[in-house]
Amino acid sequence: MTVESPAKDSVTPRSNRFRLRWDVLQFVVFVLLTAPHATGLPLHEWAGLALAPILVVHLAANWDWIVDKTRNVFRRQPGEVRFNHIWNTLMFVVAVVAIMSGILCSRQVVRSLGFSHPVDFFWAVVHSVSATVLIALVGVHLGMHFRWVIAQFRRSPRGCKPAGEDGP
Amino acid sequence: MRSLRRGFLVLAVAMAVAFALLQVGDTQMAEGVRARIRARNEARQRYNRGPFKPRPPQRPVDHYLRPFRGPLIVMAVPGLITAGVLVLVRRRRSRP
Repeated sequence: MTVESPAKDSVTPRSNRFRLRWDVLQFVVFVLLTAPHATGLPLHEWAGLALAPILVVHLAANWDWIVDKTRNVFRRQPGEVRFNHIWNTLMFVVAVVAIMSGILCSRQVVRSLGFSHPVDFFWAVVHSVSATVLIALVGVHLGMHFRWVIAQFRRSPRGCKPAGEDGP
Repeated sequence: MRSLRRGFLVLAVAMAVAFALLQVGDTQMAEGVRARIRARNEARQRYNRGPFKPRPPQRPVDHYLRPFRGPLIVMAVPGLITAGVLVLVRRRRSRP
């Protein structure tokens, strides 16, 4: 992804510094979500609900890349970019299924928001399967952007060293 | 912010589509899964109603960290394999 390089110290929504911080936050929330036995069900459900807006901001911060690659989907592109595009789309669909099924089988959040519905274990099974698949998908996603993450962490706070220009 | 608005729109549409698909899928397949879960729950209740069971041993200190181990392995293994393959591919491509 070609990222406009904003002022060196600024943290705008499109800057690499913002994106790195946001990705770290997203990763921490995601790891918390992977173990509901450890965090307890209420925290798991609230963190799961919080992941939806976090995901939207992550997509918005990388929106230029998404638009660019989707517009040129039928044109010749490097294999890595094409793989990333397909993988990210798949990950988005699985994430939406995991969040939606999580809301549908929720016990604490839905009740505390004033809604009541009978607990349906079918959605619990859908949620469990989609969440497990999502963990593996995220692993590959992180592997694809490993260089970008390392480059961002190595970068000095003053921003003297330019970081790589990888995709989302 | 235009991007954010578009992002929200995409997420809303995707959620609506996913919800519709899940509602369509919630028919025969769901009944089968529900029947299996019901049978498992009944078996568990029968076991719990049975004779006295000894108390399970005390959980170790790392009880709260241990549940993260499995998911982290599921995430790290494909991630490391992908990163390794990517490094090899890039190295081969950069070779003259």
